[in-house]
Amino acid sequence: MLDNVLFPIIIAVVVVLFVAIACLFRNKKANYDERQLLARNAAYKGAFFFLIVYYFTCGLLRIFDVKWADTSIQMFLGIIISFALFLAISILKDAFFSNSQKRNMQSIISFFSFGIVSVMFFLSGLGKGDVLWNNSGLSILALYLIASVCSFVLGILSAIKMNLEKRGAEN
Amino acid sequence: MKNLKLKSARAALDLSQQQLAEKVGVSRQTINAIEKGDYNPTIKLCIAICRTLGKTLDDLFWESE
Repeated sequence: MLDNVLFPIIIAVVVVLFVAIACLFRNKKANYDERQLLARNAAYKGAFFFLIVYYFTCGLLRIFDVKWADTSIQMFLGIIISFALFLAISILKDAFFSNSQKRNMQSIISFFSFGIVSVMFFLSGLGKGDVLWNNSGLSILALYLIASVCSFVLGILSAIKMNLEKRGAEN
Repeated sequence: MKNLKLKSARAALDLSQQQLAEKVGVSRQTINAIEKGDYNPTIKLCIAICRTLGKTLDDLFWESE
């Protein structure tokens, strides 16, 4: 029980530290202008409040003894969805891509690569006989599936946005 | 409200949105958003745009009645 509670907390702390350090380094190299920074702040806020509401709902469900997934699965699902939400809002508000065309292309490739890797993990799990839904609710396979869907959606969204930007620049 | 003064000042110098954005140090979308009236730039950015286009703040950003 203790492990079940401690493990997600340790992982969450590590993830938060990693993101904070990455942001520190990124801010120095970031090439975002004032409008993009404002839009990114709004996206951070949206993702943060989503995460709070999501965890609050998970807590309530746990109090009412509705078990739909392990605590660790719930935690990772929240992180994946809120991170995807942040990226999606940033992309939609033209605040994800920097002024570097090369870096923008790398982002799109990363989205699709991550999606493909997640699908491979998902298929490998299915091949081993794992199921999406077991006795404790959602299994880890569902995380792979959701992560891959989010990545592909973000990749497609980015590709569309970059295409629109190319057209806009030509006009 | 659209900022047609900015658009015409840019066009008078034969600059594209991309070229102006590069000179000012912002993204093309930001220049587009300012021209469309979707974004109110800070005074710092307004001054940078004015200097690049050789105009005053009044010329580009003051709404005459």
